[in-house]
Amino acid sequence: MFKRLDENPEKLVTVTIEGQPIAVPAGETVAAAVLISGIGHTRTAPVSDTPRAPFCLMGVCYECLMVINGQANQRACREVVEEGMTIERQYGPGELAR
Amino acid sequence: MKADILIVGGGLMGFSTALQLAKRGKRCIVLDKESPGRHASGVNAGGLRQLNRHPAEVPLSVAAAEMWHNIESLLDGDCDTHFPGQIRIAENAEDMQLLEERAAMVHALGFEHEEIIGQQELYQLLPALVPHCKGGLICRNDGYGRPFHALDAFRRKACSLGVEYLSSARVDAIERKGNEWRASTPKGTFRAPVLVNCAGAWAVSGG
Amino acid sequence: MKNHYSLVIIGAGPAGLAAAVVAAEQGLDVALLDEQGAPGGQIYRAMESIPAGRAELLGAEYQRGRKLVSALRDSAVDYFPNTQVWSLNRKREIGLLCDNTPAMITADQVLLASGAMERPLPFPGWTLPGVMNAGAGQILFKAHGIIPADGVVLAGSGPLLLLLAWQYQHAGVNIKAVLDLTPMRNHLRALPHLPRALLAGHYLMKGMAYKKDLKQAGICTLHNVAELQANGKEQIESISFTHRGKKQTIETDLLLVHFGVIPHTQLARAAGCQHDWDSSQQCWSPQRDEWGNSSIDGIQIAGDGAGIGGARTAEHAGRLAALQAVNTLGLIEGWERDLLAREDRKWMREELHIRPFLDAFFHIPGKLLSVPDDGTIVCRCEEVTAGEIRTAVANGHKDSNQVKFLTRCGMGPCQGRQCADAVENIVAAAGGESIARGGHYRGRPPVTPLTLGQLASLDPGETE
Repeated sequence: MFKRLDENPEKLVTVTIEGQPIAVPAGETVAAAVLISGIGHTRTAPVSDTPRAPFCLMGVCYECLMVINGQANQRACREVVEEGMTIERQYGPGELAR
Repeated sequence: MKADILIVGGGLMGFSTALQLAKRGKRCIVLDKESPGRHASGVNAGGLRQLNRHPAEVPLSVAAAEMWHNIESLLDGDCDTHFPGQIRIAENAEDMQLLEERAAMVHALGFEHEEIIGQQELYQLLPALVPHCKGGLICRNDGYGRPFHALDAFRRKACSLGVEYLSSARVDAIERKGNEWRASTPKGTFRAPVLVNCAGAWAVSGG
Repeated sequence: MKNHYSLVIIGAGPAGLAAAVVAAEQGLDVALLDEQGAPGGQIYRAMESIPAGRAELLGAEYQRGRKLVSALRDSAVDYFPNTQVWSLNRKREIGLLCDNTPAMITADQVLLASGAMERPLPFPGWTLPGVMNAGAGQILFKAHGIIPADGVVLAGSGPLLLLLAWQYQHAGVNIKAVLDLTPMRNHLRALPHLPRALLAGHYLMKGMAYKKDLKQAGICTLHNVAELQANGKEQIESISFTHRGKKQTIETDLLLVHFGVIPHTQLARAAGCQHDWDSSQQCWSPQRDEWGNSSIDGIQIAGDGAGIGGARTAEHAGRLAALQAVNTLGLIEGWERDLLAREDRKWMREELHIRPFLDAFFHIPGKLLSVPDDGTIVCRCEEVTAGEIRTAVANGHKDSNQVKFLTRCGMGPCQGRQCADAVENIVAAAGGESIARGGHYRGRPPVTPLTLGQLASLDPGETE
């Protein structure tokens, strides 16, 4: 679906997306990294369990809700990748962090 | 416009009153200052509770519970009602004493719906409760429904029986002329021999 | 961050940036709050970090932001990135999260410069993964140098569609088609506004230049397209549409849509600012005067959040609002304000010459806005369909708030941002109240999520 322009990023960080480690340019949003990774849907809608993915990428649609570092309901388009970050799909309404 | 009964307020009181009157062949008009269920009736917690009522309220709440348990026969919808029960919790021995006195009082009034439960049953029913509680007073057939949907179902049933209602029809003034009540609103003046004030929080300011 | 500022500006896009710099120059102590990590808003996003090569692909307009951003860095403005505002009231008490730490601050004047968002227009299949806004494509491009890999279809109506097509074409993206849903009759609609639009001719020239480039590059552009739908099971696989009476299908794993922009009014509404329905821009905009004064004393609104005028207009509006704030707070007299504002007032008038033409040309047809297909999801969060909304109207729920009560549309995480427009249009078309009379969802803080833990950790002294 998406690819990166050939730009030679200065710094890379490693995050895990759905269990897979991936090197991502520092400063990238989680949503961007996830779209590049090709996992397809990033969450399922709570009422019907249908797959959803980011829509607006500016923080107003709330479609990009993912579980980031164990915390549910994070807007992936507003979170910047950090070394060691875990990024997972959110199924339904999300669970409280324990 | 003339009717048998004017009802001020399109919340649950107003539409329930209208429905019961319409079932008995009366022509009713419901007047609401905004839209049906706009305030308390639309946004309350949905509780259907007999538990812990003031003694004067107990017979009424038990009769109401009977209706809520058979709501499909009154309306065309079930209001999404559920009856898992409600519990008043005793945290210590003094609380337990109060609950036992209450249970006795209700029993003496001739009602069986409130029952003492001990620690074991309390924690069977509420496993996530803090561990120091002693017991409780339960009403097993208490529950909850969806308030706005219930109001909507009352409104639609009432209207199907001929009740008329007007939204955005705030009653600005009420006066008595001879044998009639007259209610003036931005949508006209309405007249009836009987007027029922179901205007909730606005019941006093409504005159 | 201090507990109190003379002026707090919310939003670091062109309006907020321009306003902050002017206000600080005039001696006010100013805080500029922005939810992103770097200044620029959406239009000038990534201005400080973008590699030169990527910036060139975006075109000349984007470069304008450079001056605004560097002026901020040279100024005495207290700039707080990564700051979300979750509440604002008439007393100008501001609830915020700064790097996820909650705080309450106050201000003598508040300027809302939260900008606009794309009009969310439901059509069959729009919730499928792989369907996104054109603005989303732009953000990926600007901020991250990410472009479509396997081709893209662009569809909708509005200047941003053309701009993105041009930017993509220059970056070597395979544009499978540009589907323009602008109805032909809009040409006639816009004609009376053309003379005035020529006064801001640079816009028209630019538009024509983009179109010429696309044509020369052989990009397939279809006009007067209708009945757009996205098809697929787990994600988009193709799109269908009608063109010249014939149904066509194009395979694609990415569809970017655009149907204009509308003010993002969530915070202004929650604060209690009055809004009016603007039928030419087909959106709600806050009541305000030329200086950005809203219906609430001490709260001003400027930029696209006040009404769509574009980036250049937003700069001028920001400066006017700042000068007004400086005047309101007694640092300059009215005549000084007027004198200092002369250039910006003049340029703003010039920029606005294009608006009636653009608004008419890109007027979205009512039929499209009222989501004719019953099965189309309108409220994405709560999954409420157009058919359910029409049924609610038929059963006596005559405005968007009543429909919200009954169906839960507008009650999900986005709090009605993505469905309000469509719901209001559907309700009006189905015999409910007109949009102007029926109103918008009632909104209350918090306008952005915060946890109970964050709320509870607010210093009680700060909430007095």
